[in-house]
Amino acid sequence: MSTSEPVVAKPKDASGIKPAVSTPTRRQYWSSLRTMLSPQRFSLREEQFFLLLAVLIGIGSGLAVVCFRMSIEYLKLHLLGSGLLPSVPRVFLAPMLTGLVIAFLVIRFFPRARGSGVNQTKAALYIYDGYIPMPTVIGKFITSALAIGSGQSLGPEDPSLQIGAGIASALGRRLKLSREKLRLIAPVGAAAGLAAAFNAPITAVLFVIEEVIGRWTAGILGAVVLSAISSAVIERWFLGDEPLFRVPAYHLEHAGELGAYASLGVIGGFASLAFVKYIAYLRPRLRQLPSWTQYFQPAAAGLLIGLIGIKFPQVMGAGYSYMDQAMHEQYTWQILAILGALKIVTTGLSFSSGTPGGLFAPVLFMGAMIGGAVGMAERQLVPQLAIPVGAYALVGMGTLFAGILRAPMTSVFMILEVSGNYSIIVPVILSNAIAYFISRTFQPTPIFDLLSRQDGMDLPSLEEEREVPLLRVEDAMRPPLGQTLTGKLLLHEARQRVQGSAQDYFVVGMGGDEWSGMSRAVLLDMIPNSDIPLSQVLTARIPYLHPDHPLDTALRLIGGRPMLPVVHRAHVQQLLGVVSLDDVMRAYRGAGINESHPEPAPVVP
Amino acid sequence: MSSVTKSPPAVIRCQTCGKEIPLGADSCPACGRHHSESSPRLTLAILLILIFAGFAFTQYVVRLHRATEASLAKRWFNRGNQDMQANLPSLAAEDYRTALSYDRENRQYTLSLAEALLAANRMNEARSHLTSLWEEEPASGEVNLALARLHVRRGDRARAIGYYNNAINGVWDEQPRQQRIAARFELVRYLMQQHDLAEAQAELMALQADGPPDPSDQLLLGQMLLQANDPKRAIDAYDIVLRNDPRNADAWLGKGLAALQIGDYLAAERALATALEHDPNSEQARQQLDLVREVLRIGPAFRGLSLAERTQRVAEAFSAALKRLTGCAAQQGYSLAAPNTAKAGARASAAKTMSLPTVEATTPAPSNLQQLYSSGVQKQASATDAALRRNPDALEPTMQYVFEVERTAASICPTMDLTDRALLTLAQNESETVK
Repeated sequence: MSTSEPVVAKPKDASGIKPAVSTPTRRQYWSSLRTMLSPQRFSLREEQFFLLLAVLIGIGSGLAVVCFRMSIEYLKLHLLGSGLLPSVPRVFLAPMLTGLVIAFLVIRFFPRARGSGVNQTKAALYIYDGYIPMPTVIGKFITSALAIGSGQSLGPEDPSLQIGAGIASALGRRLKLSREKLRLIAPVGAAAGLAAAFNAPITAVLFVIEEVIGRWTAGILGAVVLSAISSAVIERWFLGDEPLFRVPAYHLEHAGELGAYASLGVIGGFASLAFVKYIAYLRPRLRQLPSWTQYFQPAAAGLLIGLIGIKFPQVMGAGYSYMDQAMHEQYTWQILAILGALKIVTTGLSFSSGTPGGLFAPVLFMGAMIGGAVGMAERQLVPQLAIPVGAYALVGMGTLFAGILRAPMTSVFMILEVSGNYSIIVPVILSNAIAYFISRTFQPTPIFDLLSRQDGMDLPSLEEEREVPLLRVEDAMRPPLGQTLTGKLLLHEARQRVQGSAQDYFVVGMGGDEWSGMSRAVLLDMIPNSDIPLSQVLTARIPYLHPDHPLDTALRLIGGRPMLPVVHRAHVQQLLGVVSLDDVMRAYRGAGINESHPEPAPVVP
Repeated sequence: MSSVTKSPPAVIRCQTCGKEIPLGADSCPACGRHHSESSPRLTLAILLILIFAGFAFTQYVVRLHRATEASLAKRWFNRGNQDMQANLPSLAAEDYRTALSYDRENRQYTLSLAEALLAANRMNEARSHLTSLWEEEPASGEVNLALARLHVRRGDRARAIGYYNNAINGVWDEQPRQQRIAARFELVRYLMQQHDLAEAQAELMALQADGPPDPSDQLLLGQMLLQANDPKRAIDAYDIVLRNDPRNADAWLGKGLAALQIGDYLAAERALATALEHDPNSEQARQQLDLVREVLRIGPAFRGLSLAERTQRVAEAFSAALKRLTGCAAQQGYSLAAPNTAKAGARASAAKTMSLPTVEATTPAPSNLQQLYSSGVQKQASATDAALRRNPDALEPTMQYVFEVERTAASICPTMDLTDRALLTLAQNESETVK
């Protein structure tokens, strides 16, 4: 082979003529590169952009929450000292003096930073089009860190939720998102904030759906999940992936153990009820006091908490390390019961005094202590029950969460996510269900709804939505009664059939999954004695419904049509009934939807 | 780069007051603040920069916090160690717990906390921590050893032995061989406390087969073998020590004691004399040497003794035994009755001739003492030097009687003179031989 000949055959065009090889110039390269990277080429639809933004919100919220937690730790170290048992002067003075500072900051600079942050985020979603001012976020960060760091009986999770929502809201505004997206972006940030604070993304997603959004919606679920996961990744990047609690191993060995957990559900249910009633009583009364007292209420709460903290410092702050100790049987049942009761008192004081901070951690603390106390007491009474106290404490957390915050799904998944132990699911569900039932029976309004109504707002909730009876097509439909024709009928046959009928409109099964409809007058106007099948005449199709469809689906689909067919899900050509606009309206009137709206709660000034 | 292609114009809220700004307006009608129109792409770019900056800042803050926590954890841990050394386990537990709150994953802190709780007798708390540790690392030698100690204190023998065995076969981070040997020694001590000598001997045999490299461990092994009634293996252990360190007085002492236990009195004398030579201040060596020499002086069964010497030693031993019997009864305040009233006079005269103390006490003696005394009085005539020479067959039964007296008296009256100790030693070795 000659070295001058090419080794690889060069491509030729169809004519066999060798094409002229043109070397692109540098300018052409740059031009093509610019085209490749042009914004038009890389432009995203708003939905895609929203998902990308969710990830960025998750990262940003994660960073903010990590800094928030560091701030709490830093303040705690400097205000209460490094020991688990702080010295008496620190316990006595730190929450009181810090309470004065917090009150001044909240009243003068950050009035919207009051409260836990859950309702504020919900209000942003439903009232303020997703708007959370940046100063509120900064205020929440500072005042909550001061409160929790100084020993006020509050937790960092709900403020983290609001911080995340605030960051998301600010971003959405800067990016000029549509009003709809701007409204939805706050929960996306809320999930991110909560996921980072609790190191539990599934719990965060569920809590945001149950408590913040208040309804199941697939619209932003993807964004909420993405932001929660990216936030949790950031949190674990910086703070490690160690769980909040070192949960002892547990296996359900005997069905009899469920009886023990049921008793925990009963006790937890009544403890939840006591806490909610206590907040419902104390908060409006403190807020009705003269406005100048607002400056001293957090300090007074801090003073009382400090007095309790001299003997029981465990009730100060979020108390995660003490929950861990309760799980590891480091207290007697009497001490655990006292700590649970005192936490109810101190959290009520801190929260009702207007000190910014969350309920999440205190509720878990109460649950761990009450659960541990019940477990140890039961073990003394029935030594055959070899259930580890840690399992009781863990189930107790879920129980109080379900009873107080009334987020049943979150309460179950939170325990699973925190413990990583699926053996505990049956006891958790049982105990949570009992506590939830007791709480709901004796306190129909959930705590967050109660708080929002005290603040003069009426925000939707998932529980409320569950209360409203859902009307379905089957509640409005009526039997077809000879109003059916098929597409196979010849025109003259169809005419014969409708001539004897008193109906004005007929639905026509066209075969397959298609339906059509025509009026009697139109059919009678057609050429008589024609052998053309009806299917050739009717080209327009009408939508059909299934009996289990929500009734509002019928409203949306019916348009100007006299009626729609209601068909079997497995056999679409099997007509089960028809539904008209009158039928729908009659069903709504019969259900009395408008009368089921709850009585408004008295608004606290 | 990205851009929003389908974003309908939003109704924007003022960054300052939150009021809605009409579309197209440059400033807020409520507060008058100028509202700038920045592009989303620019905002995204700024956001990315802010995220990177935030990342760096957070990293710095977290590192700073971690360093503070690490330093605090170490400080509280050291404080806990000091409290443990000062025998303040409850305080130490709080210190360790605080250390653990700053470094939750530190197994050493958890283990120390569990040990402090154990020392403070807070069993449930200690068990909870140890169980958590064990679940994380079931093969850990340290954790298994701590769990074994916990169950020793709870009186759960089966679990204690189980965890000891886990510790012996477990994973140790530092000096695994020494740690395993120490764990086995601890198990042996526990078994001996439980009077389970067979199990203890089995563990000691395993230890000996393992051959502890440390001379102190060999010495300890020898002592434990002695305590576990395995003097032959004890001698082997001491010989290993002496091979490397022939001047080790403790080893010579141990070897002497082991030889004494076997009944090899000459070897015992040699070993004890050497021990005393290397450590003239050893009181135990001196006492044991005196004892061995006394044994050699009064023992009637040694080879090479003439019949006259044997009978003389047996007669002396019998005399000493009777004296020990009456002396013990007097010491305890017991009255020893004569075998029968007819022989009461003989008993009194015998006591007189043998210079026995007269028992004035009124409490009746235990039946075994009484029987021995009666038997002794009856044997008295046949246990003299002359009588024994006439009837050498009586030597053995007489010595058996002497041993019986010494054993019985030792259980009632622990204090005794050198001769009685020597006779008791002979009695013990004799019973071992019989066994």
